Amino acid sequence: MGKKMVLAFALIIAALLVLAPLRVDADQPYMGGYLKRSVVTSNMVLVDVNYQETKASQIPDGKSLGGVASVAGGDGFTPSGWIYQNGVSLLHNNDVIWAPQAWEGDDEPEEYHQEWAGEADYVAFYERMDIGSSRVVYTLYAYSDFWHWDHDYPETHTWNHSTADNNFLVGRQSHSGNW
Amino acid sequence: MKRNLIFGLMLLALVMLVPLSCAQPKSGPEMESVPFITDIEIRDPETALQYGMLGYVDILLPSDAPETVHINRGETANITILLHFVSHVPELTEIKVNIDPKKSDYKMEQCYVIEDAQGNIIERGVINVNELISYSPNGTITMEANQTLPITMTIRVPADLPEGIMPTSFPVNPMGITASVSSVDNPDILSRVPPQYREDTMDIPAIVTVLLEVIFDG
Repeated sequence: MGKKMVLAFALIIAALLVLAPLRVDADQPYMGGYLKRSVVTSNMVLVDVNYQETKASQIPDGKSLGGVASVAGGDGFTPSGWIYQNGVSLLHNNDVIWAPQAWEGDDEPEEYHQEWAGEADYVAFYERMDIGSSRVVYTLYAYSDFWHWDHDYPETHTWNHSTADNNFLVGRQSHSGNW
Repeated sequence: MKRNLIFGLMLLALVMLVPLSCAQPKSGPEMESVPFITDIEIRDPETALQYGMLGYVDILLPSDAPETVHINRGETANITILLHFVSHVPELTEIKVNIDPKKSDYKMEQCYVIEDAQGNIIERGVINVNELISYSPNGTITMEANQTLPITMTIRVPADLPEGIMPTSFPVNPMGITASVSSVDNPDILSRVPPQYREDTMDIPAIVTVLLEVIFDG
């Protein structure tokens, strides 16, 4: 009886482990989340990405680790189906690529640009998107070291394209301020 | 007693592991994320064609080229960059490449400051890198598949930059180089991409892997 109980115990653990597949098996794993509640309109989005504590060598060759700001476009609170993304990607070789892009729906990249933007040891990358006057402007502020950071003189990349949208739709979520 | 211990362990295991299986991301639209494409996807023919990209143009430096260039104020330097066109479709054998940094939608700037003797910032300014770049050849050229084309990029450091600015350097990307294929009516080409991408003129993405640092006298 005792051996059967131990066997049952082991089988339950094995079954539960099988039922708990890890999300990182997905084609495009991601961390973080989406701010989907309490929708508000905005004409500007700003996101900070920092790779300084990241070991690029652990990223598989042919993959990248993205820090992406992704927002919907629309007219007032009515979404248009367009999605604007301002993002950087860290590659296996420590390079950081800037790749702003706009999608119509979730399967059609309509506008795309790419530049080499720096390396993982840059102090910070700030991704900014502005919308207005029928254009979307993507900006990347790249601070190569703390000296540039302290004096606030970044390398600035900007790219823009036309749009029929009037504003971004973003979520709102309160945060304690503690990370 | 032993049986109770085993039951206790089983119960503990259930309490610890069941939340793991229940907390998995939901399937379906609720958890879908919008793809984010980089040069990795653009270089992969299968993925790129799904997104309507018939090929790409690599913009790179020769392997022996320095990544740092010293230029005195008021002077220029010529840098050779390489354009290389890769076609994902055998039937696509040539594209048009437009080279014009003045008409680029991409702009690059370097902010600078001037400090007094006490380290206080007394002036801020911006170097507009687009205005300091020119190419030879300039304008529209034709590139064939697998062709590598050298381009001379001339970088100018203005003579009238303020004295004492920091930093005394700025980065340079080869901006203003775009590519496209027009009058696409070959059914063998059009059939390779989803219908929504079949347009008369199709953009060919450029992959820029060059970031030069230009250092000038303070």
